[in-house]
Amino acid sequence: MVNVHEFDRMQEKASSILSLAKKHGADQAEVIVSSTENIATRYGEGHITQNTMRNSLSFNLRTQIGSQVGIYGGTAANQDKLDQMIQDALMLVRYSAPDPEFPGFVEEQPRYIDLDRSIIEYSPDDISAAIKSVIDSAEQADTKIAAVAGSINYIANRTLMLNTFDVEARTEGSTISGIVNVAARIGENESRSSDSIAGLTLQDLEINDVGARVAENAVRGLDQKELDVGAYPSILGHSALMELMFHIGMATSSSMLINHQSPFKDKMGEQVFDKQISITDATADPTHFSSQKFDTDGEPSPDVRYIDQGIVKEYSYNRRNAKKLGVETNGKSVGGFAFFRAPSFDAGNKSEEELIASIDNGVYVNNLWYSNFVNMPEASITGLTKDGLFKIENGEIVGSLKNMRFTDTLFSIFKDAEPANNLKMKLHSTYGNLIGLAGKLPSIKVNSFNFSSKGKH
Amino acid sequence: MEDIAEKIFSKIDGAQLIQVRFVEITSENINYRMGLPFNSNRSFSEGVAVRIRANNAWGFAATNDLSETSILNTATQALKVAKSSTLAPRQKRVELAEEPVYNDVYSVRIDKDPFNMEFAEKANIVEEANKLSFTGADLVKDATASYNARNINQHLLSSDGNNIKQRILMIGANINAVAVGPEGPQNRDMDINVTGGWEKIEEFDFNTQAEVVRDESIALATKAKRCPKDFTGALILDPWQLGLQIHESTGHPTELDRVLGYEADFAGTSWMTPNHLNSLQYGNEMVNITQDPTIPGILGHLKYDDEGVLARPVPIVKEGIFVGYQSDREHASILGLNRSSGNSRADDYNDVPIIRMNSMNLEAPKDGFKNIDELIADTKDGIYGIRYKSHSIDDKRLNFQFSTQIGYRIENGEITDMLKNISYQGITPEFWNNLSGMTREYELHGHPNCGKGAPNMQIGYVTHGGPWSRFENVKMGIA
Repeated sequence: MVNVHEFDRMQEKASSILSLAKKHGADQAEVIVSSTENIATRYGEGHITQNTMRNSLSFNLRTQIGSQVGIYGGTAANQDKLDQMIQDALMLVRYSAPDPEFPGFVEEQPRYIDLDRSIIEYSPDDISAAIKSVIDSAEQADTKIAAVAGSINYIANRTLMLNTFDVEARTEGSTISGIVNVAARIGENESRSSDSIAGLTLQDLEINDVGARVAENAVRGLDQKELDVGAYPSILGHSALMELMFHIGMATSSSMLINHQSPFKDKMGEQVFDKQISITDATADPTHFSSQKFDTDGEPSPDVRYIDQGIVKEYSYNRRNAKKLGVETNGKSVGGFAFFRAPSFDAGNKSEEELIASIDNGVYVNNLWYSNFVNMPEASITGLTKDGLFKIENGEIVGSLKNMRFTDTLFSIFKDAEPANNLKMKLHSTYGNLIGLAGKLPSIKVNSFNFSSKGKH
Repeated sequence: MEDIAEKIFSKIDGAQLIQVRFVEITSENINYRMGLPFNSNRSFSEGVAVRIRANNAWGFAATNDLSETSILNTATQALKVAKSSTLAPRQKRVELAEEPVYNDVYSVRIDKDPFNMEFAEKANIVEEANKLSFTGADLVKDATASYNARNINQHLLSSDGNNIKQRILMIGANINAVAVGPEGPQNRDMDINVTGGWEKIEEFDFNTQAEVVRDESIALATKAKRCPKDFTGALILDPWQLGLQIHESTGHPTELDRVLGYEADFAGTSWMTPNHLNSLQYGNEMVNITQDPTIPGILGHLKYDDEGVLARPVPIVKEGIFVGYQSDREHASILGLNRSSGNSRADDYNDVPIIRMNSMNLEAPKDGFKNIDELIADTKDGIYGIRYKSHSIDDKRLNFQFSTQIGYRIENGEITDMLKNISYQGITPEFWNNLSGMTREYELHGHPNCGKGAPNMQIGYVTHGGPWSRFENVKMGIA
């Protein structure tokens, strides 16, 4: 399935870089060459506002002389300039202090999982036409629709890793993702709703339906009432749960163990969440938006179970952190950090409607926004609701609410929780496009979600 | 580069405006953790972006293949992209706000270029400071120190006559210590982020800062009391935390793209809508907030933005009244403003320019308190919060909750206890209308980490600050 011609070009570049590294004194070296085509199109107020197409060929080189190491990143260049860049890379190594924690490179050819992914090609016209469909379906859904905004991001990438131990890995694939945000308005009263879309093809995004679906939710959100501050049983929608997944990713990161910030530090084997919660990093699932064959250390990236029936079972490791902590890496290197890549929840047994029906006096949260740890070691988080907050009474959604701030801890939120059976692929609202973070998640009922202050809209 | 740009200008038909931006970036990071180097790196990137305005829409294409053939193909792609934008077109025609064209070469002042220094000289200074921040301090369980530099050479050429070369050298350093006490870890860090050369790192005084973060992280972990729960009173912010307050509650809501709904899908919208311009009582009469990227040496300093608009001071809040937006040429025109405020910036060659903050500061009064000591002496019952730890604000920029790394309880004009885990919450206009005192002394600090832009997020490099400032009736001790 791989594009041999493009990979030949990348192989030539990678070999050339490694040869130059050796020529300029490296004992060992490893290079990752990445070729990317990106179409990123954004729209607001019902029309396209930004439309970009980017092509790049870049590399990331790690070199080692004895126990000294260095990292060098560069873009495509002619041979003379490349030679200068590699000399510069080796200068960095030569003048660096010894790094006894450097774990070295992968020395034996691993057996990588074959994701069997390929690149599906799209043009700017394909993306713009899809956006036109989203805008039209949203605007035609209801006369109260006042504005449509969003983006579609298409990324086609080929990556090749090669090192001086002749370890080689290739991967290619394309993803397409986006956000749809629709405003409904009656006079001064405005309501917004949003949804993220993520898949491997345009068809995965349900382009013809998503605009109308979000528009209907925006209309449903009109005429908001105020909610009293306090803790309520709540349903966190898919996007709301995805926002919290970033914090769980931080909590399970070995990088956060090393700097003593992880709330899961010293909690291996402990029950931290409800037993109905199980979370896997499904990097080997070829249907997952964020699957990957190998990490930025060149290590295979298998599925890893982090939380099993509410119990902490594993942290994410890269080679450096694993060496420092005396364990084996599990292939979760993201640059110099360790982080999960493709979080996936185990589905529950009940539908979202059944979970709503089980709540007498509660809240439905469509999405969360700008959530941050207040104090990470204690797992305390604050953030706001966004794009749809609804009151649940006697098992039914009865009306829309003004946005609220929540302040709570991960432990408290997921202490008594039940996932629904409605798994969907959702992009992380804030960091999804930055680090390719998407999750296969359900909506989830949490018995207590603490709304700490009233919003103003 | 002029030759290739001229070929693009003559080859592309039907464009209202073509901007060609060549960018070359060299960066360097030296990192130490607990006395050992980790992930120190260098990078070099270069590329070209072509941005074309045609048929009332923008098209943008970028490549890092700098062969002439590739660049000309990229220009053709940009035109195709502009044409594809018309599949979902803006109905109302927009002419860009007028701006003179410039032919200029500019560089920030650099006394000691870090890229001309021996690598080991820089590394030794980072290593020494890192070791000082934990050596002999058993409670400090994690300590890092880093230095970074990012040199940008940019050449902007446009079909209407701009030919602007700028060199911006950003330089910074950070030092951090985590001490673990009976109630868990506490973190303290300090940094500097400015434009200029290595002389700025020398001014930072790495070793003194190392001692500060070491001693204060230990004090936080062992002696500091928790912030009183549900406390309402006076809150004094140091210029670091004030900077964050300005960034989140003044800077972002006055970005004209989000005001007009073009950031609704990601960054959000704004409560500071055009009907409020020149009438909204944003804060009380003491509040004067101005954008000014012309201040030499600060992060965000430049002479021209990425559309070739000349930088100048722009008032945002004047004597408490909301008077100005941050804009680019397109959004300024949509609102009917005569001129862009010069906020169009792209992070790299392959990033499309968007409206970004550069420098926005609260002006210190001539008749304020002399310094923080005088301000504390004037405060009966309050808390003094120093440097940011956590931040969160809603998508219209009204409801915020922030926390600071360290603070002090103030009772009857005196500091009584050191405090940890200080959080405070408020509503933007209520907060700024409760400003009750400022010092004449002020500081500006760089913040190299503002994320904006979708679907490809860009990093913004900005400066904020002002005097030590006191706000009344603030809710604290939230979490």
